[in-house]
Amino acid sequence: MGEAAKEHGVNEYAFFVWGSYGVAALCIFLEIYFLNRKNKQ
Amino acid sequence: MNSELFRLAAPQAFFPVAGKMLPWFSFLAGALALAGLYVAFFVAPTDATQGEAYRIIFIHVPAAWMSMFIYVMMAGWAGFGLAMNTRLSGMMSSALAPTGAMFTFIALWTGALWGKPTWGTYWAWDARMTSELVLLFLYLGFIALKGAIQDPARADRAGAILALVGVVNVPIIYFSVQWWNTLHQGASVSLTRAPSMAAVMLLGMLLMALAAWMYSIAVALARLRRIILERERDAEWAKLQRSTA
Repeated sequence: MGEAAKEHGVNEYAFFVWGSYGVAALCIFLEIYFLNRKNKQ
Repeated sequence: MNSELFRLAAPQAFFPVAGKMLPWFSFLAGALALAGLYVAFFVAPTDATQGEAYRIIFIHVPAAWMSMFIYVMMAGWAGFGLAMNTRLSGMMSSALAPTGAMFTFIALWTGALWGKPTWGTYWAWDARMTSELVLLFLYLGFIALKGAIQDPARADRAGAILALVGVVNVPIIYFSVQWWNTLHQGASVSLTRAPSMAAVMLLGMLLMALAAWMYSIAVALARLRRIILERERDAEWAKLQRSTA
């Protein structure tokens, strides 16, 4: 864990990194989902 | 060669070509993303000062690059359509906008989550962050404006003007870290000087950037095909296409 995260007392790997990649993956999933749904209409 | 390009400017001619290109770009996006994520999480070492939080760079920087690049492409197509009166150009700009907005949102979101452990704050009204937020509003305004006008030709013209006016924001975003004293750091990668980061980190970032590029092309092509079918719904070929799909 980096110095900054120790100061904040949070698990930066879990919260900041996965929070970033998780939301990015969700955005991509939603974009493809809505695109496919519209294509089927 | 030129006549072939002119032929492809017709939505009917471009529709099947986009369909053929789509799986290739989708495959490249997936393969490059897997390679990029492998380098990002299993090859690149932990940063000496930022710890693991720096790994956000592999999604944040490609998303920020794509947010600006897609806007320039979108404004370029919109402007070309305005000048040359080509229908496909307006459709191209419409197809690119949602993906550009998504990458802008990802850049802002990941930037906030990177800012907290490194700067101690999720957000500051700093020139880079504020101009990137303005970019998101420009994308949303472009999408909303085009959606609010029923006649596609008028929607394309109005959207093109907004896109062309808004393109001034892109150099402001890019050079904001040089022009003003910002909390945001300067560019780590530049065309004019050597990168200020380790080679393996740069490799991961470039792989992810290429993946984001391929993904954007694939999604824009898929969306373009839908827009073409919507706008050409009264044409015989589009009716035939919909009935066979």
